Parts: sequence; C-alpha cells; structure tokens
Amino acid sequence: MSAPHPIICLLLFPGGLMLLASSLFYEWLERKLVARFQNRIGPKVYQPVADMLKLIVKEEVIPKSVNRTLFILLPIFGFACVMTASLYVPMFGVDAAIGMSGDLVITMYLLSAMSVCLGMAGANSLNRFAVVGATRTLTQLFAYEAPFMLSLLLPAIAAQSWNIATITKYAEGKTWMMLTLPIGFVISIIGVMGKLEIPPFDAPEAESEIVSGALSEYSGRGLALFRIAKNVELVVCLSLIAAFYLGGIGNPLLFILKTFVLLAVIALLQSSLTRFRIDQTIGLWWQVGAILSLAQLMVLIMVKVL
Amino acid sequence: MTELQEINKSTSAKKYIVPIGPQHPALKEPGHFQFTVEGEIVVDATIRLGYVHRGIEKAAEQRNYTQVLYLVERVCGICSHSHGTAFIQCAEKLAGVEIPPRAKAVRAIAGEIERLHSHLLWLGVASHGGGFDSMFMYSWRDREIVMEILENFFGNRVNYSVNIPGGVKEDITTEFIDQVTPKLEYLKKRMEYYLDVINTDITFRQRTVNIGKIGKVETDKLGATGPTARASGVARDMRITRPYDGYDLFPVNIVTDDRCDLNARFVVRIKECIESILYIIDVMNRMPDGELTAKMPRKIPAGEYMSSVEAPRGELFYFVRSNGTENPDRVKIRTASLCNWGTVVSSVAKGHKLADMPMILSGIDPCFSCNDRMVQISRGKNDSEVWTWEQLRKYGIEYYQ
Amino acid sequence: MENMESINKFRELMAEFSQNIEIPAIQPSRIDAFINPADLVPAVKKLHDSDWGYLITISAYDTVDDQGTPQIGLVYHFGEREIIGSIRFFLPYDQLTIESICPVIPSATLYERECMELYGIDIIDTPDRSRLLIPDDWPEDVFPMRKSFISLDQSQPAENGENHD
Repeated sequence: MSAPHPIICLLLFPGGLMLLASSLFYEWLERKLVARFQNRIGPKVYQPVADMLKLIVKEEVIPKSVNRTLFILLPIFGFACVMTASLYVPMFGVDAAIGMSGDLVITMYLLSAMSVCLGMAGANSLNRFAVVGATRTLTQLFAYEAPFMLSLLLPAIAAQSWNIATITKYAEGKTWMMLTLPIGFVISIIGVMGKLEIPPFDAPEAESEIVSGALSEYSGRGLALFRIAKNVELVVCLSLIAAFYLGGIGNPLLFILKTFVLLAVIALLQSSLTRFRIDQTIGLWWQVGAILSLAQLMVLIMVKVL
Repeated sequence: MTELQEINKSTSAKKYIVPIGPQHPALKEPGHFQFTVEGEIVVDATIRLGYVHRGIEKAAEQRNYTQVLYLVERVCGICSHSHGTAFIQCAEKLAGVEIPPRAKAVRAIAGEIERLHSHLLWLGVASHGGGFDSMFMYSWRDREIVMEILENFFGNRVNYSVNIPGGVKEDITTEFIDQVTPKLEYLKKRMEYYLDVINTDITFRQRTVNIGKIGKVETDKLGATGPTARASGVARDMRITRPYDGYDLFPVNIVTDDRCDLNARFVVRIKECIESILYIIDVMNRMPDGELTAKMPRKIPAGEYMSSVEAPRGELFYFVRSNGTENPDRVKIRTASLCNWGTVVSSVAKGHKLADMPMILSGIDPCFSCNDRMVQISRGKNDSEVWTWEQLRKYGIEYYQ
Repeated sequence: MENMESINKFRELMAEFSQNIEIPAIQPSRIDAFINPADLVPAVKKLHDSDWGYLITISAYDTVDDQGTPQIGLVYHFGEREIIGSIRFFLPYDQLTIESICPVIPSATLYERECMELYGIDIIDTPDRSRLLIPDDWPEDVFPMRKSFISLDQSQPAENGENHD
C-alpha cells in the first residue's frame, strides 16, 4: 500500500487535525483524572471541545494600550511553534514526519519559543497581573529549562545522536531508559509540569494572586489558540518522554497507553502538591534539579567512557 | 491611557502596585487591596473595604427587638448564629430574663456546629489561596456533612435562626442525636487526617511554616481575637473568659499554639473543630430537661448592656442601649474579623512575597460582609511607628538567611 | 478573685480622672468610668501603659442630657478577662472635638473614623481623615447615624436616600 498523499499526512493523520483532536482528549483526561483525585466528578468528554468552540466563537477584546499586531500574532506564532515541533516528534507511535540530524535541538527550541511567546504576550498586555505573570513565566523558563534540556540530552548522549529518530531506535533496543537513567526520567516529567505551568508550578498563573497571569487580557480566539498550543505542547512533550525513556515507539497502541500513564502520574502529582512560590520553584530547580541532572550526566559519561 | 501614565509613574518610583479587588478571583466577596511590590516583595499594603456597607446599625434603630434579631443574623451568613446570640443576649439581660438551661445548651450546640462549618469553609478557602486545591475540594465535601446537619436540624443551610427572644425555637431530640453522632465521629476522623496532612505535607509546610508571623505581645496589644490570637499563644476565647449562654453550664477547652505563624493558624482551627465535635457530642448526651423558652416582654426596660460572643472568627462585641420602648436606641456591632484586619494585615503583610498574600489574608479568615466598613491602612517608610519597620527588616533579614 | 482584681485595678487607675465610676447592677462584670473629655488621652494612655486589657471598640450614640439638650455619648470599651472596662464621656453638639488616641493605640483609627463620619465628631490628629464608610458623593455635614437624620431627600422614602450612590 502506497503512503497517503503528504498533504493528507500533514493535515489529517498523523498531523494537524488528529493532533488537535487528541490534544483536546489529553486535556479532558487530565482534567478528569485530577477531578477524580480531588473527589470531584469532573467534566464530560466533550467539555474541552465545547470550551474551545465557545472561545473561538466569542468576541476577542483587544485592549487599547497594547501593540495590536503583537497581540494578534503572538498566539498564532506560539501555536505554530508547537505544531512545527510536533513534526519532529514520533506522535502516536508513527514515525516523525520530518527527521534530520539535530532535530532534537530544534524541537526543544520550538517548545521554549512557546513559553517566550506567552511571556511576551503578558508583557505586551500592560496589565499588571499580566506583567507579573509574564515575569514569572520567564523566570520559571530560566529555572526549568536547563535541567529539562539536560534530561532530554541524557538519552541523546546515550544514543550518541542528536536525531530523535535515532534515539528512539536506540531506546527500542535497550532496557527502558527510565530504569537506567531514573533521575533524568523524573526530572523530565517534572520539567513538563514546569513548562506547562501545571500545579504545583502554576505560580505564573496563580489565580488567587494574579488572575490568570500572562493571559489575563486574552479572550476569544487568542486565548483559544494559546490553550490549544499548551495542550499540543503537553502531547508533544509526553510523546517525547515516552519515546526516549519508555522504550521507544514499538507498538503504537502501547505507545499511546504509555503517554496516558505519564499523564496520570502528572495528574496525581498536581493534585497532591501545594503551589510553589516562584522563588521556591527556582530554588528547587537550580539547587536540586540542575545538580541531580548534572550528576546523572556525569554517571552516564563515566559509564560510556569506561 | 491613564493606566499607562499610572504605570509610568509607579515604575519611575521603582514601585509597582498590584491591585486585588473589588472583583478578583481570589476574593469571594468585594474588597480592595493594593500591594506595592518591588519585584516579588510586598513593601506596602493598602486595604479598602465597605463595598457592602448596608447601614444595619441605623436600620436596627427603626425596628423592634424581634425584627432586629433577624436583621443582625444577616450581618454575616457564616456566623449568623453568633450575631443573633450576641444581640438577643443583650436584650434578655436588659429585660432581666434568664433563659432555660435546655435553651442554653441548644444555643451552645448551634454555636459549635456553626464553628465547624465556618472553619471547614476557611480551610478550603485558605488552601485554595495557597494553591492546594485538593484540600479545598476535600474539606468542602466534608463541610457538606455539617451543612446537612444544619439543614436537617434547623431547616436552613445558612441563616438558620435558632434563637428567638427568650430562648430557642428548635429542640435537640434523641432522634437527632442518633442521626448526628455517627456523622460527627466520621468528621472527627477527617479532621484528624487534615491535621496530619498540614503537619506532614512538605510542600504545604513550605508555604505555611514561618510565614506571616506575629508575636504574642503584639497580638495581645493590637487586640487581635479569635483563632488568630490563639495561634499566637494569646489565650483569648470569649467562651472561656466571658462565658455566655451554654458555655457557663458546659465549659469548653481552649486551643492555643505558640508558633505564631500561618501553620499555627491552621492547626488551631482544625484542633478547634475536633474540640467542637467532642463538645457537641458531650452536651447532646447531657442535655438538661425543661422548657425551650422563657417569656420575654415586648418592651425592654431602659439600660445598656455589652456582650461578647466567640464567633468562629473571633470576638463579636455588641453594645445595646435601650430606651424603654420596643425598639433599641442604639445597636453597636464590632464584628469578629475587623479587629484582626488592622493588626495582622498591617504589621505582617510587608516584607513578604506577593505569593504569600492570599494565604496571609485568608489566614485571619476575613469576612467582608462582617466588616461592612472601609479600612485604610497605609504605612510608608516615614512612618512614625519605628518598631514596624525594624521588626519587618529583621524579619526580612532572617527570611533570606 | 481575678475579676475583682481587674475591677479594682481599673478603679484605681481611673481614680485620678473620674469622680464617677460605677458598676451597673444589670451587668456586674462591667465597670464604667465617666471622665472629662479633656482627660481622654491620658486616661487611655494610663490603661494602655499599665497593660489593662485591649481596646475592643469605640461606640458613639446620640442622646440627650438631663435638660433635654442633644449630645453625643462616646464609649471606649476595653476588655480584660471577664471584665469590660469603659471610659465614657459626653460631648455637647457645639463642642464635638476630641483628641485622637491613635498615637497610643494605632488600631483605633478604624473606630475613630467611623465616629467621625457617622456622628460628625471632629477627632483632631487622627492619622487618616478620608471617607471610611459612606460613599464619596455623600454631602458634607450630613451624619447618618444621628437621630435627626431620616434621609438625604426629605420628600423621598428613606430607602432611596440610602441608595444615593
């Protein structure tokens, strides 16, 4: 059977629409799991879809004092970044659409660009909550970025390649790397939580302090795009971790199941921890996260060399 | 563009004002706070209340005692029984009416159930302020049990109006006791579990231990009351120091804590809940026999009476003047959390991280409808009260060591 | 008894300011000292310095004296154990000026401003004189808690007057 037309691949399966739909499903799953952990009932499966539709249909309010072009472009740019990042990642157990040497670096760069977009959107809003939120978003970016990058670097060093496809191939043949590189695995999971501002790292959008942080001024389409972008980022990050640490792609169904398990772990963590203050977040990442991942790196290099 | 100018002005002074309220997701009721921040550190706090001022004290002068009883119960939906008790106690004492012991016991039980539901509500709100939503969801689910008790017993979830002039309108039946005891015992287990969580959970302790400290001497001098005072080691509990209806017959144990911080406020409130549960079970099984009401005259003899009631949030003070007619001449209400505003917020807020503000604020359990008045506390660097700054500087230095 | 000790100490402390200290028959746990308005700050300072209780609140009420002249009664409530000790005095309508006790007890500012606004008492030296309770567009020289106040607009029912904002 010949491969379907590349356009169909890009727009429907495994890219584009499929990714959007699945990102909404992941959001639902996360919300539902958190709700059950918190002794609540939780949303219906179509709730995220309904939320998105509502946001897209709603009027978008653009504050007078902002730079209009930036205000409109930033969500689109952020969304585009994560969608592009998904092209390099083996989504749903299907080989990545594009592969080249060094695509891991590009992916990590694109994922960070999304956070920068968020920060810029907040700073552009001139709303005090948004500015404080943006400051915190960017501060947090500097906190988790280095350990998170290191944690993705570890499999790369183990496989001695910067290519995601090569690393996944390598991971398939070996024992699960979550067992051989346990610290890296834990840090990558927590790094995703920091990246997506999931509790307890939700200081940048702590509603009891600064409303919704950087996104306080966003409504309608802009907000919808940012939210979808975050959901897609979640799926991309989970796929990346599952591919690296949980034994490569293998069976696509099994692969999706693995990402669900990772999501469940994140949901459990987020419902059992109290929000960190931004200074505590930074302290945790630099004092514990960075040092541990460096230690893991040392161990890995030692093993490789010896 | 005014907002821009404001921002420019504030940045030129290297200060940034974060307004919270009157409408803000952190606030369930209207209030307005302005935190001046330098980075993440709060250097000044301004509070302004009064968006829900309803003129209840004036309205009370134009109504008769029975009407005023129901009016003051609506000062606050959470501590309505305390307001009713404090007011009607003044009227009864002025009229020289001694209510029957059974009525006293019912009033005390109602007061303790109210304390339970208020503290559980607070536990949820304060946890949410700190971003611990699971505790919020769990404690509010358990609060539902208390609300059910209130609904079954008094017919209403809030504003249950147990008091009538000269007594109470609901009796505690054996059927009620059988129904409530298992629920309370379950609740006691839950409270013990929460106590365990707040004392052992690392992330929760990180956000509460040594946060919002206020020393024993200051607490005493500034006139803080209720759990806020007791968490600073000040043994001030109106149920014990000025025993009133019910508590004169059945004494209650006081709960204090010497650690003076936010965690102590959690511990004191949860331990008080456990005390309340034990107290309710104890009183229910020792209910005195007799009537529920005593006869109360319509016209109250001229005179003055001051009564203090331990509301869930602190000391509730009523000063009632009667001029011998059916209507009171003056009803002065000093609500329970008002005295804590000026003390804890003004002396504790500055020097903390912005992120700690919601928890510090909710630490005193502020009640906006309670404080139907406007407060403005603003203390700059050239403040005459030197101790505040010294204390804060000292605090700040210790904080970063 | 501790309570008797508190009462006696209050009596002792207030003796130099007041000829008229009474314990009302209706409430034996209460003691009222009627003082001269000019002695307010020294009296409060003395209580504060000797650690007698904490300030509960300041109450004002509109009343008449023996001749039927309207006057404002002020009560400074202090609480110590079971005892409520009050420093009280009366201000005739043409002399509604007293000194602030905020230098002694800073937390009194709320209660003082309430009296200023609702009863029109002029408290000199109080740190903050801005509007506390009533709306910003409320007319000057209208004091809603006085007995003479019915509504802002006499032709309208009181409820509408209250919702002036």
